[in-house]
Amino acid sequence: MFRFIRNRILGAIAVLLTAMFAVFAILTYIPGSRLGYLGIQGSGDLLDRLFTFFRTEPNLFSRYVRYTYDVITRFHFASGFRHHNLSAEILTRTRLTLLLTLIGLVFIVVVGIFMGTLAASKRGTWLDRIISVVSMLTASIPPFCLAIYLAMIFCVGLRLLPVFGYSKPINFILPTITISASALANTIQICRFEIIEELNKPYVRNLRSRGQKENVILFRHALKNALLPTIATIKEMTASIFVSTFIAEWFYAIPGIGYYLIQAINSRDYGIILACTMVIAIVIIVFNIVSDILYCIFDPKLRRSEMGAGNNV
Amino acid sequence: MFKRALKRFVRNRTALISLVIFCLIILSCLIFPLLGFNDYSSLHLDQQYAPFSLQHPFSTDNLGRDMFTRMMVGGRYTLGLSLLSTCLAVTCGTLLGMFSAYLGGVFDKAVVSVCEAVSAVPYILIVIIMEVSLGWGQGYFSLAVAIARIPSVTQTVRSSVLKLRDAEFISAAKVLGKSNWHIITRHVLRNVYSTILVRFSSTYAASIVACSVLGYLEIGISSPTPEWGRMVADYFHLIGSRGFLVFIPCLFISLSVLCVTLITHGLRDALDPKEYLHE
Amino acid sequence: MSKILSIENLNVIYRIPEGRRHVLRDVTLSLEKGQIRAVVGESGCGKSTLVNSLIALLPENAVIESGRIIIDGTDMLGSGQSNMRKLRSSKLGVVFQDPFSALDPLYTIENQMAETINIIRKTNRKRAMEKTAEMLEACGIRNPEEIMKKYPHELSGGLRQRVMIAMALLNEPEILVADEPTTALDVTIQKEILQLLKKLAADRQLAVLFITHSLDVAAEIADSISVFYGGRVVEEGRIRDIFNFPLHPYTQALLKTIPSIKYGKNERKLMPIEGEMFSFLNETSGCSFAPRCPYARKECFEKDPETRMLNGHSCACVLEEVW
Repeated sequence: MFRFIRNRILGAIAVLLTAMFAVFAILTYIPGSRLGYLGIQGSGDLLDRLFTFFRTEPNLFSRYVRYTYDVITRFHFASGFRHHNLSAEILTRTRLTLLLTLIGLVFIVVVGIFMGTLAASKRGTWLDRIISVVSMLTASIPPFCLAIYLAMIFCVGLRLLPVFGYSKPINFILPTITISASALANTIQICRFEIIEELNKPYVRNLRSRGQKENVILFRHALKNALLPTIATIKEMTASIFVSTFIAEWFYAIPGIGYYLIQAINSRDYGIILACTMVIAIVIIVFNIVSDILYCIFDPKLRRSEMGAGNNV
Repeated sequence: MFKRALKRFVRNRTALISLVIFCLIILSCLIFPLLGFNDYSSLHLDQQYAPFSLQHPFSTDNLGRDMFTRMMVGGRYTLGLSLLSTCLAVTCGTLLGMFSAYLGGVFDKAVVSVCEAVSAVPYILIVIIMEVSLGWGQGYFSLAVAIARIPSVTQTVRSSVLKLRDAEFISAAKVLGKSNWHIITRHVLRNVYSTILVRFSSTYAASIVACSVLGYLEIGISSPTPEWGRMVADYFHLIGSRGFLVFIPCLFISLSVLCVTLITHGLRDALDPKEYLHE
Repeated sequence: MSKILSIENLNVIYRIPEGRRHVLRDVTLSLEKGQIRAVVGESGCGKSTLVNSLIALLPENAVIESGRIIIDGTDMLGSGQSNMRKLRSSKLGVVFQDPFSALDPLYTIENQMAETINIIRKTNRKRAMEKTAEMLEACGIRNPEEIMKKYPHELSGGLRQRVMIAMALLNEPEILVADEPTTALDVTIQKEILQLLKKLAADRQLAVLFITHSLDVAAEIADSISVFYGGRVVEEGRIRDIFNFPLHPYTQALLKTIPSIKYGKNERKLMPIEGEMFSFLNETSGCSFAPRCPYARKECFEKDPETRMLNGHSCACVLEEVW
C-alpha cells in the first residue's frame, strides 16, 4: 500500500511539475510580445521587478526553476502588477476557495451517499423514482443557471437569503448548493446504481440464504462495496467541482482564487493568471493524492497486494 | 442492427420528445434571424422593455433590442460553437483513443497519462491558457473547449477498443493478413460506433455547458455577441427589476442541455442491447 | 433412517408479462440423514427454482402455489419469506455454484465466518474463531489460522469452495444444499470437493441435496437420484436402479449422452437428444418430454403422466413398454 501511495505521489509531482512548466512556458515565453505590450500599461516599480526577474535568468528553463523554487520554498510568486504582496493575497484567497470547495465536497459525499443509499434501498418505489428524476434534472443544469434560479427564488422572490457576502454561515448556503448540485446529482446516481449492482451479486444471495438481515446486507456489505466506484467518480469530478466553485465565487462575489483568476483574465494580468494557475494545479494534485489514499484504504486488493509483497516472503 | 436501435429509440418517449424540442430550438435559431423581422444589434432606446407582443414575443432589453431575435442569434453561437468543438473533440478523441488502444506500447502510455493530467484540470484553466497563448477569437474558443473535452472521449473510446482488441474476430482478421488500417476502419470502428455516438451526444451537452459558462464568465466572447451565457452576464444587474431578461437565456441553456442529456440516455439505452435486456 | 427433509407436491408459478409459467409441477422429494441425493436436469428445468424455494429466495414474481416443504418435522411454508429465512438457515446450509463471487471481497474470511455464526446466535469472538478454525479443518483445509486471515481474492477456487462449504456448515445444519458446487472448478479440484462432501455426509450424518446437470458427477457422489425435466420429477430412485434400469425415455436418452471409455465390443455411439430443449416459454399440455420423445403417442400430448412406482423406483411416464 505504501509503495502504491508513494508511486502515486511521485507521479503526481512529476505531472504537476510538467504541467506547471507547460503553463509557465505558454504564459511567459510564447507571447513574449505581450509582456512588452503590458509594459506600456504597468506601473514602473513593479514592471522593473518583473523584468529584473525575467532578465536575470538566461533561458526559459532556468526561469521556470527559479519561479517554482520560490513558490515551493517561500510561497512567493515572482510577478504581479497590481499587488505588491501577491503571495499574501493568493494565500488568503486560496484559503477561502478551499473552504468553499471542502464544504461543497463534504456536502456531496454525505448527502450523495445518503440519498443514493436511500434510493437503492427503496428501489422501484415512488421515492426512488423522485430521487432519480430530480437528480437527473439537477445534473443537467449548468451551475450558473442554477445560481440564477436560486437567486430568483430565495433572494428576489422570497427574500430569505442574502446574495452577496461571505462572512456569516448563512452566506454559504447558496454557494454550497451551486458548487455541489451537479456533482451531488451524479454521486447520487452512481451510488444508487452501484449499490443495486452489488445487491444482485452472488455474495449477497449467499448472505441472504444464511438469514442475514436486509439492513445489515445493505450497509455492511453492499454500501461498503459501492463506495469504491463512488469515490472514483467523485475523484473524476474534482475538476468540475472546481469549475463550479469558480462560478459560484464569480456569481456571489466571493473573492476566492477563481474570482481573482477571472478578474485577471479580463484585465489581462498574466502574472496573476500564472500564479493562480499554479496554485490551482497544486490544490488539484493534493486532492487527487488524498482520494488515491482513500481508495487504497477501502480496497483490500490494493492494500494487500503492495504490502503483501513484503509480508509473504 | 441500426434499424432495431432506431426502433428502440423511437419507442423511448422521453428521448423522442427531447429530440423534437431540441430540433425545434435549432430550427428556429436557424430560420427566424433570416426572416429579418428585427435586428439583434440595433439599439432602440425609445423601446426599452417593450410589452410582450407579436412584434416582440420575449419583450426587449434595456437597450431596446428585441430579445427574441437576440435569443435566436445567440442560439447560433452557443449551440453552433459547442457543436463545432464537439465535432473536433470527438474526432480527435476517437482517433487518439483507437490508435492508442490498438497500437499500445509507449504511445498508449503517453496518451493515457496526458489524458489523465488534462482531465484533472478544470476546463476553465485550459481555455484560459489556450486563449492567452493563441489569442481571442471564436475559432480558437471552440478549439479550446474541444481540447478540454478530448481526454474523456479518448478514454471511453480507448477502453471499448481495448475490450475489442483481444476479440477473436480481430485475431482472425490479423491471421488473414489484413493491415492495421483495414482492421481499424473495417472492424474496430464498426463495433465502437455506438460508443462514439453516445459519447458525441454527452460531449455536446458538456460543451453547451462549457460554452455558456465561459460566456457567463465573460471569457472569450465579447459583449455585443448575444451568446446565451454572455446574455445572462449582460442582464444580470437587472435580476431584481427585470428578472425575465435573465431568466430567458438561462431557461434556453438549461432546456437545451437537458434535452441533449435525455437524448444521450435514450441513445445509450437504444444502442446497448444488453442494457435493454436488463430492464 | 429418518426423514429430515421432505418436499411434497410443490408447485411454483412465475408471473411474467406474457402470462403465468408453471415452473415446478408437483415436485416431491425426500431426504434422509446421511443421504446424498442428486437432482439432475438440463439447464432451465427448474433446478434453481427448487433451490430458491428451499432457501426462501424466490424472485418477487414467483409464488409457491401449493405444496409443503417439511424440514425436521416442521412445515416451512407457514409465514413470510424473510421470517423463514433465518429459521431455515439454522437447519439448512447452501453452497452456490460460483465460489469466485460468493464471498464479500472487502472482508477477511474470519470476519465473514464470524458474521455467519452471529446471525444465528451471538457468540464471543474467541469462541467464534475456534469454531471457524475447527470447521475449516473439517473441510480439509490444513492451515486454517492462516487462511482465516486472508481476503477472498487471495484464495484459489478450490480453497474458496471449501471455505464456502465450511461456512454453510458453521451453524451445524442437518441439510446441505449444494447448487452445482463443482461446475466452476477444474476437474481435479472437482473430485476433491466431491470426496469432501461424501466424507462430511458420512461423518456428520449430513443430508446433502446435490444439484447438478451432469449424470457423471451425480453417479460419483449420490446414493439416489431425482431426474428433472420441464419442472417435473420424471424419474426417481437409487443410483444403481437408475443406471441399470432407466425407465423414463428422458433418463434413457440422458444416459446415452455420457461418453464411455470402453473400447472394442462395448463401444457405443454418443447419442444426442433430438429436438429442441424444453422451455417454459412455449408450454404445452401433457408430458413435457413428449415433443422430443421417440416413443411419444397421442395420449402423451393430451394428459399429464402419472407417477408410478416399481421396487422403490418411480417414473412419470404412461408408456407400458418402458417398464
